[in-house]
Amino acid sequence: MKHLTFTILLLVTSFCCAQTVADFEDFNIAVDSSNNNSGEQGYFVNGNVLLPNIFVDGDFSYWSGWAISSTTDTTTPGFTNDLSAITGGGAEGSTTYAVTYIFPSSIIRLTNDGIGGYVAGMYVTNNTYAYLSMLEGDGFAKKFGGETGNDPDFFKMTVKKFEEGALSTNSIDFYLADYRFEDNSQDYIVDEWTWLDLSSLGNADSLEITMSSSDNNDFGIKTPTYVCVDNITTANALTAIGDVDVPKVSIYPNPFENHIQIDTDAVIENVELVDVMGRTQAINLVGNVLYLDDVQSGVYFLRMEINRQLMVTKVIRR
Amino acid sequence: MLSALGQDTTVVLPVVKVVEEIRKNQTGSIVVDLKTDKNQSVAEALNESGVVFIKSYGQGSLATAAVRGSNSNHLAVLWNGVPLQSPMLGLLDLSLLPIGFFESTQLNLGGGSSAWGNGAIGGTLLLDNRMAISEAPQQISLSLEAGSFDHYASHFKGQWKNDKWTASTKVFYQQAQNDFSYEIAPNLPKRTQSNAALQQWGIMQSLQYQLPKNQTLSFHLWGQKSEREIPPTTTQNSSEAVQNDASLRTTIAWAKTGKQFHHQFRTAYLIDDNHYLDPKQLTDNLNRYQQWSNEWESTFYGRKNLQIVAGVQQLAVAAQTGNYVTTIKRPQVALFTSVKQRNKYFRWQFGWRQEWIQGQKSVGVPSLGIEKSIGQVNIRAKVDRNYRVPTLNNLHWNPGGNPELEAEAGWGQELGIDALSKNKNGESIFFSATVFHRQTNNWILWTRLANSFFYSPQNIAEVNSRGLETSLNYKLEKKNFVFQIRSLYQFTLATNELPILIPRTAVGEQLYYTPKNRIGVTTSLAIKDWQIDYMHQWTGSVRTFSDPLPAYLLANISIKKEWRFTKFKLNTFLNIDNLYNLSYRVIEVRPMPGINGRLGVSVAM
Repeated sequence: MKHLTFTILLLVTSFCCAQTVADFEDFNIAVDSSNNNSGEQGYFVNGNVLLPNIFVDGDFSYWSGWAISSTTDTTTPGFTNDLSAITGGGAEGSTTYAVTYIFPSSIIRLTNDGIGGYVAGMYVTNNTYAYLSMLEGDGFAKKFGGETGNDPDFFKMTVKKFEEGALSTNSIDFYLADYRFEDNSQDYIVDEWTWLDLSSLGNADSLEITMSSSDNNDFGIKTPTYVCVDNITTANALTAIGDVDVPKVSIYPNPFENHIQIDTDAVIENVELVDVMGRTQAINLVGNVLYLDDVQSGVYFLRMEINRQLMVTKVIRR
Repeated sequence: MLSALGQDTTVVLPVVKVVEEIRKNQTGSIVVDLKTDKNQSVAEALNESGVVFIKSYGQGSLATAAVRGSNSNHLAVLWNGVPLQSPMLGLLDLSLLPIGFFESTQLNLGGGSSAWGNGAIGGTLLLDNRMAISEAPQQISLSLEAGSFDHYASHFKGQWKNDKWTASTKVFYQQAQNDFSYEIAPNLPKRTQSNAALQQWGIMQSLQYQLPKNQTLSFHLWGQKSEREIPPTTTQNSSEAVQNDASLRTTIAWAKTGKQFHHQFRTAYLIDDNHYLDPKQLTDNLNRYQQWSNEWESTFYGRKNLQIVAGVQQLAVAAQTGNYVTTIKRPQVALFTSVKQRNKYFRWQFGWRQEWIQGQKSVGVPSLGIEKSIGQVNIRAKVDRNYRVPTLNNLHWNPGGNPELEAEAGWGQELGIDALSKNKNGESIFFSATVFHRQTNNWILWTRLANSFFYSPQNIAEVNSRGLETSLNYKLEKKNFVFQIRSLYQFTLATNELPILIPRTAVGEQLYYTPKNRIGVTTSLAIKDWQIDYMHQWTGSVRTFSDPLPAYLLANISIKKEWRFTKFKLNTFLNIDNLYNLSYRVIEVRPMPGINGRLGVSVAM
């Protein structure tokens, strides 16, 4: 019987511009390796940021959200090389960085001492798969510039913030590739670590990253929607708001037979169980017990809204 | 049954062949006979006939057909009655079928599931070696040709017979670099297609033995191999991808004919490998399937021109690919029957097929066709129900395969009129018009559901296909002189009836790669030993996954000369395609060649 416990400590005191840098070196990943499986907890934590990750193991494993990488392959095209930064390493000469597959968005959540603070900025760059796809084209996505070299293509990431459950209307855009110039010699695809200042977004609970591209079809964006980040720098909020009691959430058993117990002092605003294909399953929540008699064996994701925060955890029915 | 090329509706055949005709030539429907002496693929022959739109990825590349506003996996393809579509993909690459391998290549337009089962929604392509093997003269022929883009091909055919045995051997080989130049824009230098070479070879061996008491035993073996480089798109710098296809297909059949019956048993085995490699992208995918089938068919001839066919087919497939968890096996059994009768008022035919396929609900599909001739005018009508079960990739692909998929199915209707007029001056005019309608439900599309990490197939679409097919042919035949003009016009509306988020589809939008309008005119002149054919085709704009492709015009010309000697005959031919060197696309980002030609010679003894 496994218990999963989420504990969020919210201690905000008044600091004067103290900054913490999430550089991912603490993961101690060997050079040319990667970790896209955060295990049962469903996230990676470094510094004051929490990066959600879902890894489904089986005959065909797949991941979503974030991965930690130190791979250096800057030449192999295609999806088999989706965890490498085009720079061949981390920012400022480091080895480790984070990679995200944005489908349709990725989240950076502030945690630990960063809660209530803001993200000052981070280094961003393209991953090798997206970079070479835009530079050379592949069987699916176009070479930027198109057939004539003059197509006004672009690949852009947009960052917004969540604060108290609401998504901000203001945003920060960063072009990972820009071919919209009249003078084609100015066209570029980002191939080095570039600082992205996010301080203007202000205090946040989390940041949301979405992508847009000029290369679309009826299925959506064709450009591979990956981005690499490093040295995510958070700063504490300037105003102290005192200590806040933190809810603990404990989920058990997992794997489960026909029910799941959700132990928490907080109010559970919503619970949803979806399968790996995104289909919502029939559930029956009675008090803090989730009855799942009609659910078939397999892997599922328990999505809970607690204190206006969305938590997702993988559960397995035997 | 009526041939779309203006042939007489009355077909007189030896008794041994009638049983195939009942299922093969459905009353009320229209049939196209692809009779060509060119060394070309079935895709090229269909494209030249103009009766269907061929979706081609380029010279020597994948080619599929969309018939009457349907999908490329809605065309059933059968070889000697054995289905050939891949159970993994549900379709067959028509560019890999050399038309010279078959004595008969026939396209039945419209639904055919009551006769042939799974996948015969838009049409059925029937490839046959059975028909003429016992009628074939003894001969040996060899054809050599060379053409644009380093194209070389050779075809050998040998037929031999005595009182008991008939044997036929056909071999072909072809290669090409396909390094054609193409235009991106008038103000830009032309580019040269790269990584587009191909090499193909194949053998068709047929044997027939005449047993006592009107029994025959026949054997056919078809082996083929194709190695194709996959060229880059127009928005891709380079490609190193290759695709190798290899197949081995065999059938053994026994038949017995009596005064009022014909029995036939056929067993078949197929194995098909498709290997895709891309060393640049570190991709190596091998897809393999095997198919075993056994079929018993009995035909009874009753009084008053009544013919009844009844039979049973057992079929099993086993497929493997890297994205299946294990080898996937799927058995199926079908019972089928067809009743055909001709009286002084009209001709009618009723068919029914009941099929049980593992993992699917049992499917029962009927069809009813009626024809009435008034002088030289023939009126025909048909209604049928057709279906296509999900492919093995739809059901079992990992990740994303959906084992809960249901079969696509729907009703089709068609009404047609044909008129033939001849005079004593050797002139004849043939006119044909058909209106058709088909509603297909549970149409399968790959999509992405909310909160899903990947794409998966779902029964999310409904398609309403309807249209008009017309042809007008004029022929003047004199001694040593034949002049013909064949024209056709097709209007097809095939629209989505449900809004879909991914792929973004609005109600009323035309299906992808389905032109609404197509026009074709072929002029033929035969004087003594000369034959000249000129073909002009216009294909309307098509909707793609991104921007629409504009309409395009194509013109081809073919010139042949025959010399006859005492013991052999010599043929020379020149084919020129895209005569006006126009730039066009059938699929976005896939270039097509400009003017190109082939020159050849063949000797037959």
